[in-house]
Amino acid sequence: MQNAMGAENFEELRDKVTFISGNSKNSGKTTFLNYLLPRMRLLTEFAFLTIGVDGERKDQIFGTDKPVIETEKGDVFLSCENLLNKSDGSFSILQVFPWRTVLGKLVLVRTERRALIEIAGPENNSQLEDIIRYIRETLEIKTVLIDGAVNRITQVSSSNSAGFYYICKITQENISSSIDKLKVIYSLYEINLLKDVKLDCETLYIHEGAFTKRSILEIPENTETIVLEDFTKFFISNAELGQLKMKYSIRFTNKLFLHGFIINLYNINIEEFKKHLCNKSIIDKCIFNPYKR
Amino acid sequence: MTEKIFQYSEMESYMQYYSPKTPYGLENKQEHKFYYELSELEKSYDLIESMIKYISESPQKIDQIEYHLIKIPYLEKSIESISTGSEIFNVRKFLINYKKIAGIIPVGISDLFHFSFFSDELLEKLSGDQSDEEVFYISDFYSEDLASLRSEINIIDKHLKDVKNEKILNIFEKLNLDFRFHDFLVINEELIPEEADEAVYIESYDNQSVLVKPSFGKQYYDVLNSRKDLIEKEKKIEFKIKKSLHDEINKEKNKIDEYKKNILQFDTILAKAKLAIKSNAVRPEIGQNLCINLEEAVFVPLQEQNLQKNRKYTPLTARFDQRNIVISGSNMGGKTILLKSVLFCQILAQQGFFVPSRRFSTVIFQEINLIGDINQSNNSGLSSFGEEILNLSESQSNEPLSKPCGSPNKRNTLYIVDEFARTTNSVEGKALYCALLNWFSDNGNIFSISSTHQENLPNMKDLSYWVMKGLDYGKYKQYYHKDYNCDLNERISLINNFMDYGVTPQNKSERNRDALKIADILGLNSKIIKYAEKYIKEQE
Repeated sequence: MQNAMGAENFEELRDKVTFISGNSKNSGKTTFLNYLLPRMRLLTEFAFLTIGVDGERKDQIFGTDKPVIETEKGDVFLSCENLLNKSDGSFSILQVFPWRTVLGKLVLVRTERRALIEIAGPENNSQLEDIIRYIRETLEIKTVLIDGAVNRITQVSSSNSAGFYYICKITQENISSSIDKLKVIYSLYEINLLKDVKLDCETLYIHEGAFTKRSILEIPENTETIVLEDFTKFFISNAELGQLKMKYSIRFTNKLFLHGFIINLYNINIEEFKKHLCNKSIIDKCIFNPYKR
Repeated sequence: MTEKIFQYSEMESYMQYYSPKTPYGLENKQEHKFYYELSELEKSYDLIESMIKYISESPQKIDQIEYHLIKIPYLEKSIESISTGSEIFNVRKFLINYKKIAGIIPVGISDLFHFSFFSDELLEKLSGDQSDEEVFYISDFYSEDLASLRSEINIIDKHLKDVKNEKILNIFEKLNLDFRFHDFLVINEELIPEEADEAVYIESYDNQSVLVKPSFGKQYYDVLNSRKDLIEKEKKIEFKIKKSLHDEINKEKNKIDEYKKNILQFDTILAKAKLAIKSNAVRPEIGQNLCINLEEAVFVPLQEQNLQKNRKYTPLTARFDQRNIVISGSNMGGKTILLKSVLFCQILAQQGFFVPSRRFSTVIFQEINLIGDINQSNNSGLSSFGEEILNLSESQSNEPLSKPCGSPNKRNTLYIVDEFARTTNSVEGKALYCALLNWFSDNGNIFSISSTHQENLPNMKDLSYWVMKGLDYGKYKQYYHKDYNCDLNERISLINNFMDYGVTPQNKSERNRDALKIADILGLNSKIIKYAEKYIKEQE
């Protein structure tokens, strides 16, 4: 059964915090989480949650209401009081977090009877950090899946145990911009950590916050190395990044592992997409149409 | 004003080491609570003393206690919703950890904090048949009806699972579509099997593909609907159980409120005691007379900054017996730090902390005011001078914060004044400052410490003049020569090394003339300095 399901493909998520991020809202993150859950159950004990109380009502893979999640006995997940009340399941409470959302307090539960559920999560990075710490240190559940935007990664990336999937819905209309985005992410992923290299402080430029096109003009003249917190702080095109990398060495203080790009193609065949992408390293990181047979 | 005096005294920097563990302690930390009753303060100091002794005798017990303090959850004042059981979970968790702490601390400490546990019966009811202390679940233990309903639901679930598995297997055998590990599949249109109509739902995906989901048939959905009725009944029974547990909790509300108070006091006193040990802090002495005595008082934020920059730090020793103290002295001589140090110690003492010093004696102030150009930038649209005047006017119209100790009519007020009116013209600035000192002098309930560069100020009742000892220029000159080329940071370190940050009563014939020397050390053009020296000589 394990082979048919392909659970072994996700072995690298064991003991890691994994973000399921996407190129847009409704990009199919929850659908991918639903795909992962039965496979992860075969591998290890884990917990799952999302970021915020979701306003994302539609799932772009189907264009239908956002998919609910089927939870099995023994699953550990985060939701909030009102969503748990709506569910047909039965749950043990493991922790009640003090922060209030519009749908009540955030509650970490363990499923006692299988159910359809909606998950919820914290509104900010500091709460997310506290929750992850509680799951991993107090409950000793080391594997955590987070259905959420990549810009929330910073707080946990410093632990060196965080990674992400990047979910893309590719259509004829967005193929160029999506490929550009994939290239930027991959290019940033290849950048080394600050601690891996010896640096000359005189020529080091530490940039705090978002790095945009405008930030390029602010780089001091004698700079050789630019340091940023992590790749989520970059908001420039692939071409601009290429130019920047030619002129400067770039380093991050935190690094995230890229588990893969989940590519859902619409009206585009895989070969055509690969031809457009034209980058073997990135293609090797792509999982194409995981739901297609 | 509290925010301003906290900012000025850099209290935030020190408070990072004050770490209560419970949400009650953390909430209390944010409140910046001051004590105005001597009895309250003495009680706080007594408890800290006892706790320090307990920490030194039983450090391992403290670790155990802190482990449980961290687990204490915040209980809402009233339980708004009982539908999920999250508050019942919290009350149970609170009681479990409270009871554990009560079991660890010895009788002597337990008596001091009234730390007893009388809620075994309630805890038993909230725990049901669960052995896991970290988990709350409305288990079958609470109701036979619930157990029987859940058993029915489980039978249905098993039936649904069997039907589902059978359908999926049929679809696989008949249509070669494998839904065993997928909720849906995306397939090419041309691969849609001829016989697919009844067995699967088909939706358009893109121009070439369709999305296919298994259809489980009417029988499956009929059973699923009957399950919904059972779930409704289950929720009603669960609600009833939660309601009864909630009522049990409410019956013990007074006891739980008492536990909350005890845990708050224990948590904050433990954190204060640990901070006192860390900072070598001592119990403040609170007297009745308006005087402040500091022996080797440490302004911790500066001590830490100096340590980082490898600069020396001089603790403050001064006995301010008069009600009004005027401090003069060199630029960079430590006047502002002296003011900050006094305020820092006073705030700590009045918040029930021990004070980092060898000795600190003071009085309770019902009001603390800060006057001076404190914020380098202000957003109010006022000039620095305007803001000083506004602060002063406001302070004069303030109502007492609480009844003072001792005499009911006495309202002790502390004024910390940092170079009042320094940004206006010297004649009017000095006049205003003299007037302010005169007002302090006339008001018997005011204790003031002010710094100034003004000279030839008049003598007044209950007012004494002090001076920062300043730069030992002779020693400095032996060390420094013009060819000694050093950067600004090194120059500041030099000033720091040769500056005596002590304070002493002023001999009025002595005058401070360190400004030019400091300017020289900092590298000001020697021509300008020589001209300034010549100018002073001519004036004198």
